[in-house]
Amino acid sequence: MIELHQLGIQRGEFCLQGIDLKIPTSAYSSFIGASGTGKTTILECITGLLQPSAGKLLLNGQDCTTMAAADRGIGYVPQDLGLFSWLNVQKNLAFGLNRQKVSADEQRQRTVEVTEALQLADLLKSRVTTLSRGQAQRVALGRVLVMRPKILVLDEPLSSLDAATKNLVTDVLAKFHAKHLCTVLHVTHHEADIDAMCDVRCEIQDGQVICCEK
Amino acid sequence: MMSLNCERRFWLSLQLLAFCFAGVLLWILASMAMRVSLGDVVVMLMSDGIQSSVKLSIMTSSISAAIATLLSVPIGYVLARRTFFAKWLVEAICIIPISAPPLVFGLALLIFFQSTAGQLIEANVWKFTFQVSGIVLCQCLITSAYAIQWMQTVFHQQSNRPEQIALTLGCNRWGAFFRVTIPEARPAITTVALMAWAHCMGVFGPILVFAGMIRGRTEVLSTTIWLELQSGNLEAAIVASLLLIVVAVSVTAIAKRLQLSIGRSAVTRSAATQTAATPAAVDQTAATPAGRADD
Repeated sequence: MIELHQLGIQRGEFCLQGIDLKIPTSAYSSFIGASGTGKTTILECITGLLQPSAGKLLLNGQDCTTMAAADRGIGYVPQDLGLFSWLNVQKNLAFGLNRQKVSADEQRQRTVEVTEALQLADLLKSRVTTLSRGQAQRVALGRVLVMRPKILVLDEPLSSLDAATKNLVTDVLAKFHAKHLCTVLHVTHHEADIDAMCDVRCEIQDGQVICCEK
Repeated sequence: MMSLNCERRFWLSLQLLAFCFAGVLLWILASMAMRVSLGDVVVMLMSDGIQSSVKLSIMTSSISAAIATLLSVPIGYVLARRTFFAKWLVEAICIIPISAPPLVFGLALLIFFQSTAGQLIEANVWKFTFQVSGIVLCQCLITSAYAIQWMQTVFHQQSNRPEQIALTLGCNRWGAFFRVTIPEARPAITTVALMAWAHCMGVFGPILVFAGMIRGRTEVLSTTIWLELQSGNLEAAIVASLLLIVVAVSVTAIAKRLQLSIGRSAVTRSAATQTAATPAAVDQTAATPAGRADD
């Protein structure tokens, strides 16, 4: 469960006040709103990359307002992906697993599972600098899915994908959600893409988030 | 058609300006080089004086460049990424060796090491005044200021997104810095190290005042030029100058090649991946440091 209580966020000139949000455990939630309304800012606050100036943030019932990003167990795929450009695809995928000291066997199993699902198996040895935008987007998603997070925060992960790849990624997300019962917050400008799997619809309007169950 | 001609004239005039400037520089340097024959150059290069000054220059510059680079990475990083109390003051102080005449630093060092604190350091830690270590200290202080500026620009241009992702993947702040920030900036750090080395080769003013110009002891290439001029040996001064020019051109060429090889990979890089800090960032902000005996 993701809960924001009267959250205030200050980022330079940009400011959000009194944000309330509640996404139930294991819900798949779409997050929509016009550009520049603060969707990414809220996501960064949830992931721990940005400290709120006021209010409370609870993840699965635990107060995480001041908790370090590393301890929150959130998988985050930002819009600009943030791939590690000096590493190949395989090492990008294994980065988080190595930090969490996941055993080699387990790493191999998870990597195979994700690379097969996202059709990345042929790209494992490629440098990420040589990938197309669509391939890079799948690597960024794979890097998070191998971690099997309890909360998944996605910032427009389907934005540069062709129709076929979009279907593939949507299918992977739906299966991952169903299998691991994680809570998903998915920012999108094309609600129709994920309409079928959404349980909750959140919209940011005039600096406030309005959520409704579907 | 009109606009095409206008566009072409615009670029041609700017190119002409660049060629003119490069031409004037080349003319001045060539007129100096013409004063010595190839035979003179060979004889001077074989002389013990030049050889020992080249060896000392290379040794001190290598140590100083390494220290300056090691200092510049964390300082450049914090100045680029954080806003903190009195940051403007720290930045202003860090830039003094660039903005003030470097000779001032030599004088300041000399006076500092005559103070109680300085004498304690010299008595218990290391002797610097009129020593080889003094050359390293001068080169370090002056070059670090430049290296910090270069690294600050690099980190300004390098996206912090990969670091943020590393934080969400289980790294703490130190882990993200060493596992992500540094590897991402490695090509730029290499270029900064190269430029710092070349800059160290050209440091003159502070060495003149603080380390002295003791023949065969604290004589580096930049001071050799001055010593030879003072003793009326113009040919030796020119050969030492030419050596510094060769260093400058070589280092710039290597830095450009490094920049090109990274640039090539950047062309194929998708918009998805973050732009690694390219040495271009360094190249754009840095006055070519090599061979400067300007101070």
